[in-house]
Amino acid sequence: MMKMFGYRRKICKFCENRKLEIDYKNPQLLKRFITEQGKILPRRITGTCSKHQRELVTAINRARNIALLPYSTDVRNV
Amino acid sequence: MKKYECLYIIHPDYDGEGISRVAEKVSEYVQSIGGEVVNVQHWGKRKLAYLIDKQRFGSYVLIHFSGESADIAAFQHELEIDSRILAYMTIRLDEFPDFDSLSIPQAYDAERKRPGSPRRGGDPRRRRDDEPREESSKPEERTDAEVPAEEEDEETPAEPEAEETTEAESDEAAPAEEEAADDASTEAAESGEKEGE
Repeated sequence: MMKMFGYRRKICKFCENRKLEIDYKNPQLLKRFITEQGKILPRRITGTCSKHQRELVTAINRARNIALLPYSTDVRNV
Repeated sequence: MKKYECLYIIHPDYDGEGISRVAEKVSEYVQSIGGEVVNVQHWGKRKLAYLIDKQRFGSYVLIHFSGESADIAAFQHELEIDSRILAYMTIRLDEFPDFDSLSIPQAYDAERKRPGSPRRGGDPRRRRDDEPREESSKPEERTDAEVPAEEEDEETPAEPEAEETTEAESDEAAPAEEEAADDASTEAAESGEKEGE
């Protein structure tokens, strides 16, 4: 299907759903925006708008600071 | 007075009464800097995303308070000294949240490493894709085992997933046509040769 219709424009999750709050205390939400290794996914992958990406980055860094999210994960040993 | 929230982690050796005693102590720290505790929320013992002081677990406590910005450093200094507290983070808020609706968030790896899961933990999205496929493939295998060997031989070339079968069929069909075309052309060539003779 993707081949037939080509590139589909991604929509920022947080613009779409205003009730979705970016909060460092919600690691379940934040982990959708990090890789398996724990790296922050770029906007071009997730489709997040620049405003919300900035908020995401602060939230992820705060969550990392207090051990709610990993700074990095050794993928081989998981 | 500004509004703050502080999330701190208590050493896993303390549980039940010990935690509440530490939490009381932290509230005292807030009061000692002239602050006012508004809300305390216990998250309970949970796994840390990485080791802190060689500890794998810790009890999270979230505290909301108001205080003067100049005194926050003193409060954090108290937490730093307290050996029962593994980590802490203080953040200034614009507004206090609605305390009644505050929920305790799930850990980031809550669904990870379920017993009996054949795949290694990792990207949750990828695993979610894999799960239905595993489930769908199992009954098919059972049916294959039940049917006689002759049928199984016929079925094995066509693979389970629908998309693949269509591709496979088209692939199979295409060479067959080519062969037919080849046959026709060779026949024509042969007939042409015969006519030449």
